[in-house]
Order: sequence, then structure tokens, then C-alpha cells
Amino acid sequence: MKEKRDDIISGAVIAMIAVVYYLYSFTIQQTTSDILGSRFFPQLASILLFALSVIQIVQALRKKTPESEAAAAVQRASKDEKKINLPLVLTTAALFVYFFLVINIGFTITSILYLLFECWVLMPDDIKKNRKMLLIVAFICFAVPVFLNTVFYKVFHIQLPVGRLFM
Amino acid sequence: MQLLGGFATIASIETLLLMIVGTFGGLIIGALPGLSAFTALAIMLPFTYGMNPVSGICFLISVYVGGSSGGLISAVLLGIPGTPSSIATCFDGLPMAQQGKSKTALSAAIISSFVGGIFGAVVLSFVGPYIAQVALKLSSYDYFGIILFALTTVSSLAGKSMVKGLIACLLGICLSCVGTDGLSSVYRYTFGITKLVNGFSLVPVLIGLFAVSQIMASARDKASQKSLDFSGTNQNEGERFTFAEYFKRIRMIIPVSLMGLVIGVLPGLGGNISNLMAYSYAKKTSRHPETFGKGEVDGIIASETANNATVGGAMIILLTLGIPGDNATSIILAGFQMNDIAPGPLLFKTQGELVYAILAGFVLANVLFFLMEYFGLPIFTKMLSIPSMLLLPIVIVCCFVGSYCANNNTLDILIMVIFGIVGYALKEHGFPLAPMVVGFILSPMLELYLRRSLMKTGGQWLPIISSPVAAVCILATVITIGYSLFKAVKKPVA
Repeated sequence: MKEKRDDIISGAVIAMIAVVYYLYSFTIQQTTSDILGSRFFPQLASILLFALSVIQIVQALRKKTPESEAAAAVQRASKDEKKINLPLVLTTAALFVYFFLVINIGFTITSILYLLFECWVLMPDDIKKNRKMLLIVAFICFAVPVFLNTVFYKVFHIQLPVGRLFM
Repeated sequence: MQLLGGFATIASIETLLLMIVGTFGGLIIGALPGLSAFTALAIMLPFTYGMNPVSGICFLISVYVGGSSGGLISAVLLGIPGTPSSIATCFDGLPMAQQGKSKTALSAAIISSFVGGIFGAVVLSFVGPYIAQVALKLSSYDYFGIILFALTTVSSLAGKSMVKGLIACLLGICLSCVGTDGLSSVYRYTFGITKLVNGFSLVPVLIGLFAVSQIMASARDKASQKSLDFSGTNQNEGERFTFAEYFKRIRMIIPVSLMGLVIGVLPGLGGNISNLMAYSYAKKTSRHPETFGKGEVDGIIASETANNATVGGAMIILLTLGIPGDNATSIILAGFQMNDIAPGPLLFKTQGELVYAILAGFVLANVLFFLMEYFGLPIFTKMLSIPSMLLLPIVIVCCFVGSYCANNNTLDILIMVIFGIVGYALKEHGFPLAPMVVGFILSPMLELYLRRSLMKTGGQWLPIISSPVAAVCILATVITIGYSLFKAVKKPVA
């Protein structure tokens, strides 16, 4: 049941993407240098994408689910929807924050902060109470970015982002 | 005999030490997700100033060989392709590592890389110039046919649902249209963002799809510790793979080696494609295709043999015609130019000693990487004993570095993150990621050669399908698709 619902939703989202992609292709400047032109390929891809997403939706609708299983699945799905997976949300947010921080405060500090945060998010609860383990993790989180920055700068002569604040 | 003379030329302490350093450096850089042989060569090129031509070129070739094969380590152990050439290695590498067979998987990959590389070197030494002449005669029609056929790999990478595999491939095609149109220089889907004019780089897309999506899955499964959890698996259980076991698969090895070599010879194509095509071939011809993707060693062997044979193919076209087959060989070409060497048809005649020294260097570089990886295997497998809560974030930081270094562009970091989320969402809904990468890599070339061909023929299709190579490829494409559809229709509904 969940798979059927997922397939319908993902098929609908992809169909919408295909429509937007197709409509946006008309903003591409049409060229006459070749027969097909610069719009042809994107338009062909979006038409095929739309057709396949429709096929996916039709296939999903045709799938049969036993009634009892369907009822149980609906209950499970509604429970799942209420639950927010906090580690996943925090990890995703951290990835975006990394991008914004790296521009401003550079690679080394951002990476240290990111590693400390992400390790904390992924860390099993029993390790969080182990002070010695926490110290080791903190040391590694500090050492890895410093080591990478030093190697890239001193050995490979590549300057990793220094950040606007330190420019 | 001339090859033996080449070995005599490179038999100096200086050259040998440089080759050891080059191979090791390439291997380490190639093993880091996002940093490819191309990056390794770009980093190492300035070091060759002041070296004598033989030492300098052999050093660069060692970096190339080390960088090309280093990607297999993270592909097998983490399921993250160190380089685009090892995408297919991930499919069975990670499942084997999760089953406690990391030693078997890694040793199979190392042996395959070594044999593929040596095969390329031997062919290059004996028939390289002849192959290059044939490759030069191929027209845009033929390239169109070859790339079209390469797209059929999607059918074997599609996983459970062919529709979802094709949708993923088309999404890759749509994304590859972002940037400047290769033929008319018109901007497409750039939304006025100057940094998107060159389109999405392969590296951030690839590591976003494979690495970032993995850390997100790991965060989701934090409570159950399902994702990338090697606890409970004894990594010493798996036996090392042997040469004898490898050569038992000779019927698969010969075609995939040739496939890798031929793709390497064709300018513009490279290990990115050969590993996927070889994997697809191995799966289609296997007696038990259902085991592929679940820890089948043949998948690793096909991918690694082909991508290293591609290195030999790329060297053929570089040495004999002076055409860089891929990004990495363009840096080696720069190395040639720095030493006033002009690769081309006359090089074998005018500077035969140098050419055979380079060939000997190529063979030796393969031996060096094999020794380093094979005997370093216990160290690599130790990586899996690092807790995933620490290992994954460190890998992601390396990915940030890899994305940034590809173009020195911070926007690539954001692109990597966005593709990570896209990859996670697609995986969650049962869409395979490999066809998306195939579409992304192949479609720009497919479009370019199709439009070029039609420009040549004035819009007529007949001359294209009349070209023998293109005709064979188009026919093979039709048969492959037809067969896949037939199988899909025949398969009983669950």
C-alpha cells in the first residue's frame, strides 16, 4: 500500500517536473545552425519523462492490495507521517549550513564545527555519556580539517576556501 | 625487444623513486571521494618542471595509473566511487563488504585493475598505432551509434523496475542539458546564474548522489544502525581473491577488457562509461544475473578490468595521434608539451627510445600500484573498524574538498548537497541512481554527435544508418531494448 502510494506521488511529482521543464524549454533561444536546434533534446527528454511518469502512475493504480493489509498500511503510514526523523532533518540542515558557513568563515573552522555536530547527531546515546570517547572524537574532529587544509595548502598548493571574514 | 630497451631506459634510481611517489600519491588522491586521476595529475603536473623528459612523463603516468585505480578502495569499502570510473564497482563492492567479504572484494578489484592495466599496456606496445588509425576513421555517425548503444546499459542497471530506471536516466539527461549548448552556444536552463553556464560538473553530482545520500540514510537509520554498519561482520572472514580464480572467468574478462580498451581509444569517452558498460555486459551474459547488486564478485571484476584497460586505450590515442582521450590524458599531453615532445604518428619513428621508455613506465606503474594495493589491503580493511558515526562525516568533509577542488568553485558544494537530497529522495522511492549518472554522462555527447551528423547529411537519416559501425550499433541497440522489453513483459507479475 505504501509502495503504491509512493509510486503515485513520485510519478505525479516527476510528471510536474516534466511539464515545467518542457514549458521552460520555450525560453531557450531557437537556433537555425542545425536542423534539430537547441530546444529539441530537452523537449524530447521532457516528453518521454512525462510519458514514463504516467506509465508509473497507471502501473501503481493497477496494483492490487488486500483490504486488511491496506487498512493496516494506512494506519502505519499515518503514524509514520506524524513522526519526524530528527537526525535526518539535522543532517540535511547541517549540509546547507556548511555551504553558507564555508563561504563566510572558511573551510577549516566550518569543517571542525560540522564534524563535531554531525558526529554528535550520529553518535549512539551510550557513547555520549563516555567522556573519554567524546574527547577522542573531538580531537579527531579538530585534527582532520587542520590536516586536510595543511596538506592541500603546503603540499598541493591548493587554497581551500578561507572565508570572506578572513580575506 | 624494444619494450625491454624501454625498461633499461627507466632503470634509474631517480625515475623509479619518482614513479613510486607518483603511484602512491595518485592512489591516495584517487581514493578520496571526488578527487579523480585528473585532479591528481593537475596537482602533480607542476612538480615535473626541471625533471628530465623520461622521469617527468613516467611520473605523470604513475600518477594517472595510481589515480585511476585508487577509486576502487572507497567504492568497495564505502559504496562511494572515488572516481567516476569506479561507479559500477560500488554496486557489488559495498554489499560484499557488508557481508564481511571486504578482503575478497578488494583483492578481486585490485587483481582486475592490474590485469586490465597490463592488457592495455601490452596492446598499446604492439598494435597501438594501428588501432589509433582505425579510431581516427570513425565519423560522427559512428560515434552517435556507439553512444546510443552505450545508453542501453540502463536496461541492466534499472533494478526491479524498468520504468523507474528509464525515468532516472531521463532525469540525468534533463540535468545534463543545463548550461551552454555545445553546438550553438545558447544557454539552457541557467536561470541567469553565471556559474551554471558550464552546466553541472560530474564530480559534485556524483558524490552528492552517492556519498551525501548515504550519510542521510545513515542519519535516518541512526536508531537501527542499519546503514553502513559493519559491526557483526568479521572482515577477516573473506579470503583473498587469487589470480587462478580470476582467470577462471576468462570468457567474461576478454570481452570486457576489449570493451574498456576500445572505449579508451575513442576520444571523449573514458572510464566513466567503460565500467558501466562492462558491468552491464557481465550481468547480461551471467548465468545468475539476479545476484548482481547483492555482492557478486563478477560485477567488480568486469568494472575494474574495463576501466583500467581504458587507461591503456586512452594512452594509445594520446601517444600515436596526440589526441587526449579524456581530461586526465590532456594533462599528460601538457606534460609532453612542457618537455617539447610532440605526440603523434611520427613519435614512434623519431623518438622510439622515449616511446618505449614511456610504455615500460606504464607497465611498471601498473606493477607498482598492484604491489601497493595488494599488500596494503589489511590497512584498507581496517578502515571499516572506524565507527560509522565518525567515518561518514569525515568522508563527507573529504567530499566537500573534492567538490570544491574540481573547479575551485564553492557553488559546487551546494550542488553536491542538493544532488545528495535528490539522490536520497530517489533512492527512498525505489529509483536507481546509476541510470541517472549514465544519462547525465552520455546525453551531451549523444546530442552533439546526432546534431553534427544531421548537419552533415542535411537532415537525412539514411546516410547515418548506412554507415556500417553506426548501423551495427543501432541494430544492437534495437535488439537489446527489444529483448529487455520482451523479458519485462514475459516476467510474471508478483
